[in-house]
Amino acid sequence: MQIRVKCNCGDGKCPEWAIVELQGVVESQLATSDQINGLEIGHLCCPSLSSSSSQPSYTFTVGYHELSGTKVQLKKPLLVLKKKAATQSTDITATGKETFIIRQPSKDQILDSEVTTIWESIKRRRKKGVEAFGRKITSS
Amino acid sequence: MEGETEGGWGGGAESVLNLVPGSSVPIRYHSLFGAHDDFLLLEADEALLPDILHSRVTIRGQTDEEAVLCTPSATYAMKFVGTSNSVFLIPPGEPIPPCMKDTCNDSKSNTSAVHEVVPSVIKVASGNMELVLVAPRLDKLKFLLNERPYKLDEDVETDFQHNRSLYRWQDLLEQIQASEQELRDGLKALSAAEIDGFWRIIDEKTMDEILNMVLNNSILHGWRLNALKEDEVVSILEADGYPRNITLHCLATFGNMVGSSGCSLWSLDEKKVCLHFALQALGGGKMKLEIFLQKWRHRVPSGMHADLKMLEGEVLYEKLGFETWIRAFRVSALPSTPAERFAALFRERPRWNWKDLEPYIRDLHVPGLSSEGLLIKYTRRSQPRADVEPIFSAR
Repeated sequence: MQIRVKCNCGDGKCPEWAIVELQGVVESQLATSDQINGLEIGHLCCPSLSSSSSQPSYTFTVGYHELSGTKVQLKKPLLVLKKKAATQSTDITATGKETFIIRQPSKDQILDSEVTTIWESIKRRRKKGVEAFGRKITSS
Repeated sequence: MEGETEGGWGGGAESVLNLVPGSSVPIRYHSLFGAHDDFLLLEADEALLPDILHSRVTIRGQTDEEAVLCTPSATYAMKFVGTSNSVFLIPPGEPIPPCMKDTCNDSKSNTSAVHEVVPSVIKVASGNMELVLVAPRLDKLKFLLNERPYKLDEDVETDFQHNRSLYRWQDLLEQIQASEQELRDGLKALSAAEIDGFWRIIDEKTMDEILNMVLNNSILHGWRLNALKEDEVVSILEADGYPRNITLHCLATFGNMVGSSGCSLWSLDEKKVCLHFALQALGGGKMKLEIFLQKWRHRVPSGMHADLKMLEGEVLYEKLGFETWIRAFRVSALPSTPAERFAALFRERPRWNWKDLEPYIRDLHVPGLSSEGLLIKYTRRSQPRADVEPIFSAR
């Protein structure tokens, strides 16, 4: 089977995501029934550039913890891909096996098997922002 | 779709990316934070970006195969690399305020809200996909096309099995994990022909029959084997019931076009023709070398010279007593992936010297691995004394 990888952003205009990378795990102190959606994790600060360092340093404050790190240029770009369900409203088959649509550029031809997903590349994250921090931290 | 409004995610990545010294920004979990298993991070070389961003890239594979990502001319294995770090993904954008577009533009209060998007984490990634350049997986192509080789009398035979085990170009793209360019090269290497829209391997007997027709007719009509006139050959064979396209395919398999003014001329390739007759002579199994040489020289067309050098990578020799015996052992019948190739070679013979081994591995192409590297990886080299040839055996 084939899965077309599409990018509709326009030439080089993929929106950029930001990535903050921490060593370890962030846990919330909420009761398990409470949602963490919307909960603040912490503050990312960029203290003033000191004359001695060429790279600005960053701190990420989570609860009572202050973690330090740097902005790192990634060696290779990371792309964000999103699986896209077929616009025909066919559902994923009960066996959980997925089959795929092939979109011919000239005609929207759907092959006989049920198609459920297309991978779509929607955004590109340029490798500018990865801050790395140490230690396990908890957010309050 | 989950959360992706026309305006965007409302993730506020810009505030993070543009963070200037002396400022700070809060980061929170997005209102739609979750597992989002439909999101994937893919690490890609800068060199691949143009193909990816212009939608020239396709992922291929069956559910039981490891997926590969194909550009128009190269194949990459997709490998998931996990991390124990917490990788927070913050999407870009501001949310469209939840009101009618016209009133939004006018309203002052909405513009200030739009500028205060808190960077929000939509997902914590557990790792990313990496791409590793690999050789295309073409063994399956050989297998599929051999399911139903083309025979001259086939239409008569199998009416009711119409189209079963027959593959068009698009069918092959579905089944084979290779880029389009590599698939085309693979078909060429197999001497496959597109007949009535289906890619076929033509069976040995048919090829032999047509080649012999060409050779016999060239004696009858005084044709020169290095300057066969395409029209003449094709017409004469057609009169005898051989389809034009199959005759042409035979000329292309056993010869080369020699171009010049207008008229298409073909020159039969001595090596290919001699090899064909050698394999035919060896069809019955192994035989004494002298007997083989006699048979072989008898069969090759006059004017062609049969040389054992032509049979490198096609035959093996063994000494039984005082005599040398020869038998067919074709590299093209062996697996094309290195691990399996070496396994097949060592099954055939546990120990090889370099001179015998080289023709059977010279076609192996592994990105990033030289032939020395292949030997180191897959063989054990032993050399009891400096003046004795090294021997290669299984690891």
